[in-house]
Amino acid sequence: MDAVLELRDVHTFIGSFHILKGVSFAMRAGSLTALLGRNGAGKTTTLRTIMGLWPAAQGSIRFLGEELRGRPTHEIAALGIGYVPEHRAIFRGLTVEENLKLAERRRGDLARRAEWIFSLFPDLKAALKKPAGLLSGGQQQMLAIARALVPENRLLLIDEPSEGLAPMLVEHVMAAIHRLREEVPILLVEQNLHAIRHLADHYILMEDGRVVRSGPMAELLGNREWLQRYLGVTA
Amino acid sequence: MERIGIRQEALSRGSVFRLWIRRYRIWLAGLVLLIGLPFLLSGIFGEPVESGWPRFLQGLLIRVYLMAVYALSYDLLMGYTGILSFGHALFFGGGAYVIGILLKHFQTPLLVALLAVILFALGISGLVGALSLRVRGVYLAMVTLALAQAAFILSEAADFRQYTGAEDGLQGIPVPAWLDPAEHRLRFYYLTLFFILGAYFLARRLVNSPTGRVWAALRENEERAVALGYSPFAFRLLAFMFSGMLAALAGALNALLNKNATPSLLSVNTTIQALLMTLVGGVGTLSGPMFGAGLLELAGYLFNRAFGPLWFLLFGLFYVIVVLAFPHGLAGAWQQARALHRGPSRGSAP
Amino acid sequence: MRGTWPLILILFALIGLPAIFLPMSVWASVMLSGLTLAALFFLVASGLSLIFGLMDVINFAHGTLFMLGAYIGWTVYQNPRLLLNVAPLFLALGAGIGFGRVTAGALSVPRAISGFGLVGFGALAFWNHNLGKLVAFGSTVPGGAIPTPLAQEPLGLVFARMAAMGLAGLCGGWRMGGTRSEDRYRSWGMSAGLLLLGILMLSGRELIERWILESPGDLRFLLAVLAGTLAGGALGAWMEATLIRPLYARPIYQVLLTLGLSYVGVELVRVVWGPGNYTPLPRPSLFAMPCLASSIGEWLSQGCASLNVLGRPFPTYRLLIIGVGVAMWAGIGLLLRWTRIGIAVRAAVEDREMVEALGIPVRRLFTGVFAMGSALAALGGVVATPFLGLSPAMGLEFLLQAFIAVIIGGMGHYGGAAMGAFLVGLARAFGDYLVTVGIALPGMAEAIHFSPAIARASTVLIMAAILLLRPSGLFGQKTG
Repeated sequence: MDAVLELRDVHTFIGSFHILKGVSFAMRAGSLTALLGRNGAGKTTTLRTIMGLWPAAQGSIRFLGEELRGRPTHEIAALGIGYVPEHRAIFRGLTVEENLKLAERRRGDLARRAEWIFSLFPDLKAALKKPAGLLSGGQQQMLAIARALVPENRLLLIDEPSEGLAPMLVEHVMAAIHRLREEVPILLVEQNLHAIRHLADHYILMEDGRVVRSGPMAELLGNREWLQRYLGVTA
Repeated sequence: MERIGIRQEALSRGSVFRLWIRRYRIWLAGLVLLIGLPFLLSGIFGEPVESGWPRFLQGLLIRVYLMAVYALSYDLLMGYTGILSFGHALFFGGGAYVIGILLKHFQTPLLVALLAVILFALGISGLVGALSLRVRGVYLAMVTLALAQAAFILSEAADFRQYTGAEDGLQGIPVPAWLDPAEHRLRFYYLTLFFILGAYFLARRLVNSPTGRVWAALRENEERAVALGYSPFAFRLLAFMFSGMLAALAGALNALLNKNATPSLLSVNTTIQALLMTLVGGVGTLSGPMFGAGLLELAGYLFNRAFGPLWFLLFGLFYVIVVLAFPHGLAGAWQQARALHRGPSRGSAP
Repeated sequence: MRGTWPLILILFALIGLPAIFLPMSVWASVMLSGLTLAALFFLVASGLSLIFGLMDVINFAHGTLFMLGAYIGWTVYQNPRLLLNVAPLFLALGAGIGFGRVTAGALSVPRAISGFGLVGFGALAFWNHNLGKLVAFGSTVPGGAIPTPLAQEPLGLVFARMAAMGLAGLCGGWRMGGTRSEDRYRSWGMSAGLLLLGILMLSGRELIERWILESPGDLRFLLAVLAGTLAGGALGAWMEATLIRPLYARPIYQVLLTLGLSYVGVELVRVVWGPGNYTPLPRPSLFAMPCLASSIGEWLSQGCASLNVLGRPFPTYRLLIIGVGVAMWAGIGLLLRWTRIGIAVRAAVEDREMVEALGIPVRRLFTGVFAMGSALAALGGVVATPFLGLSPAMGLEFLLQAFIAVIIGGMGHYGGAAMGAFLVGLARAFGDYLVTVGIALPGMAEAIHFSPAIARASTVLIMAAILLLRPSGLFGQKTG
C-alpha cells in the first residue's frame, strides 16, 4: 500500500451542521494532489479534520499507517504533517525568525534547513528580524509555507495559497510549491484552477461534503463537462 | 382554546372571567396560599399570628421574598440581557444604606426615602452601566466588580463613620411605628408580598414587551439587533437601570427588616448570593431564580444553625459544584433527568 | 504608538507635577512608596494579564492566590505545626483524585456511590477536627519554643484522617472520570509522589518543625518564600487542570467558577487561620536592625530597617519588594522575549490553533502559564507579609488594584500590565500622601483630612477615566 494519507468515510459536524458526509480518498506517495470543489464543498473542513482541529465524528484517517482520528492536534502535527491554513495564519506580532523558530520540532531544525528554505523564498531572509505583520501579503504566504518546511514533514496540507494575491505573486508561490513537490507529498486546496493545472498530478473533486471523483489531473482537465459541472469553469 | 370550543364573541362576561380563572388557577391558588399563609401557620402551630413560630416563619418568608426580588433583578441582567455583572451588591447594599441614612440622620418620611432610593438606584446604576458597558463580556464583570469593591471600601472608611458607622455598619435604623417589623410583622409581610408580586409582574411585562425582545435579540445576536437599528448601549443601560432599581428596593426593604445596613451587604459575597440563586433556579427564567432564592434562604438558615461559620465555606463549595455540574440550574437538571427518563431517545441527549 | 499621548499625560500628572510642587525629599519618598505598591500590584496583575491573554480567562481567584501565598508563607515561618498537620490531608486528597481518575475506566463505580464516598469520607476526615488548637499557637517567637504537645493530635489519628481524605479523593476521582491513556503513567507517578510527600511530612512532623523553628530567621524567610510561591504555583496548576479546563467551551461559567473559588479561598482562610488579622512577619536580618542608615553601604553592612533618602527615612524592606517586582518584571519579559516557551506563549495569544498545529501542546502551555501566574501572585503575597501583615480581605483588595492596573494597561498585554501597575501604585502613594497631609484648596481655612480608605477607593476613578477615554486600555486591543 503506497498511500500516504487515507480517509475512509469521514464525517464531521460543526455545531449541528453536518459538513463532511462520508469523505473517502487515498493520496499516493510522491504526488501533489489537488483538492478541488466549489465554495462550501468541504475542502477546508477536510484539512482541518485531518489536523484534528475539528473532530471527526466517525470514520478513519490513516497517515502512514497511523490512525489520526481522536488524537490531539499537536500529536498529529508531530507525526510529520505541516499545515498551511487559509488566510495564512502567521503570527503577526512575532518576527519572521520567531515564526520559523516556533515551527522547530527538534533543536536545530531551522539551522539545518534554513539554506534550502531561503533558496525557495529569498524575500524572507532579508526580513528575518521584521515583525511578520509588516510583511506584504505575498511574503506572509511564503512565510506560512516556509514555516511548514522547518521541521521534517512527511506531508504538507496547503489551503488556498493563491487567495488574495496578485497574479505575479501567485506565480511565484506556485513556483515554490512546484519545487517542493519533489521533496514531500502535498495535498493542496485551490480555487484557482489555472494556477495549478500544470502543478498537480492528481485531483480529488468534492461536492457537498463528499468526494465525487478523483484521478489523474489530465483526466479532469480534458473533461469540459466535469469542469463545468463541478467547478463552474469553462476551460 | 380548541378544547373549550366556544367562539370568542359568544362568551358572556361571566364566562370570560371563568376562563381567566381557569387559565391562571395555579397562580391564583398560590397567591391565596401566600396571603393566607400567616394564618395557616398560626393554625398549624396553635399560636397567635404575631408571636412564636408563625411570627418567626413570617420573618423567614419576608427574607425569601426580598432575596427573590434581588435574584429576579439579577437574572434580568444575566439571563435576559446577557450582561454578566459582578457588581450587583452595589445596588442591593446601596439601597440599604440610602434608606438607612435618610431615615436615621435626616428623619425623612418613609415614602420620600423610598423615592430617594429609586432615584439613587437609577442614578448609580446608570453610572455603573454607562462605564461598564463600554467593554464586553468578562471584561464587564471585572469593571463592575471593581466599582462595587470601591463602594465596599468606602462603606468601611472611617471618614463617614458619622453617617455609615464604618465597619460596624449602620445600626438602629428607625422604622416608622406603623410598619415596624418587630411590632407589626404581619403588615411587613404583606408589604413585601405586595413588593414581590409587583416586581414580578412588572418584570414580566417588560420582558414580554418590545423592549424585552430587543434585550433577547442583543443577547442572542448583537450584530443582527444592531442591523435592525437598535442601540445596544441604550437598551442595555435600560436593563441595568431597571435591574438596579429592583435590587436597591429589595436592599432598602431588607434594611428596614433588619434595621441595619452593614458593609457586607456591599461585599462580593452579596453578589455571589445573587449569582447562586440565579444559577440554582435556572438562568433566563423569571420564576426560577425566585425559587432559587427561596431554596437558598431556607437551606441557608438551617445549615447556618447546623454548621455556624463553616456554613459560608460550604456555601462557596456548593456554588462551585453548581457552576461545574449544573449549568442549567438544579431545576434544569431535574427537568433534563426527567426528559431523559421519559424520552424514547434515552442517553442520546447532547 | 497608539497609547503614547495619554500615557505621557498621566505620567506627567503623577511624576512631573508633584515633582514641581513638592519638596524633593517628599517627592522621592512618595515615589518609592509608589514603586513598592506598584511592585506588588504588578506581581498580581502580570499573571492576571498573561492568563487572560493566553486563554481568555479572567481569574477572579488571582487575589486569593496572593492571599494564600501570604498565609502559607507566614505559617511556614511562624507556625509550621499547622501546615505539617493539615497539608498532608490535602496531599492525600490530591493523590486520591489522581488514583481515582486512573482507575475510573477500569472500575466504573456507580456515581451515587462515589458521590456519597466523596462527601462521607471528606466529612469523616475532618470529624471532630480542632483546627483552633493548632492556630492558637500561631505566634511562636522567632527561633522560639515549640508549641505545647497538646495542640497536635496523635500521629495515628492524623494518619487515619489522611487515609479518609485519600479515600474521599479516590471517590472524587472516580466521579470525575478517567484520564487519557497517554497521561496514565504520569498520573500514577504524580499521585504516588503526592502521597509519599504527605506521608513523609506527617511522619517527620516533629523533626521538621523543630528544624524550621530553630533555623535562623533568614533561612526561615527563604523557606517561607519558597513554600508560598511553590504552593501558589501548584494550586494554580491544579485549578487549571481540574476545574477550569472542562469549562473552556463555556467561558461565562469559567468566570463564575473563578469568582466562586475566590470566595471559597477567603472562607477557607477564615476557617483554617481564623477571621482576625495577623501581625507582619519579622523581616530578614538585612532589613531588621532598628537603625537609620545614611548611605546604602551603611545599610548593607549594618542591616538597618530604614534608609535616609534625601533627609527622610524610608523602610529598607520595601526596597526588597521593589527589587523582587523589578526582577520578576525583567525576568518574565526576557522569558517571553527570548525563550521558545515565551515565543510559543506570545504566538498562542494570537492564534492558539496554529500553535497547536505546529506540534506544540497548547493545553500544557495553558497549565504552565496558569501555574506561573499563580506562583507570581503567591510570591507577591509572601514578600508583602513583613510589610502589610495578613488578613482574609487582602486578596480581594489586591485583586481590585490589579484589575484597575490591567484595565489601564490593556488586558493581555504584558508591558501594559507593568505600566498599569506602576500607575496605580504611584496614584495610590500620592493618594495616601494627600490624605495624610490633607487637601487644602485655596480659600479654605483648614485642610480636609481623609482616611487611607479614600485613597484606596479612588483608584477606581482612574479606571473610570480610562474606560471613558480608551476602553481597551493604553496598550490593549482586546476587550474580551
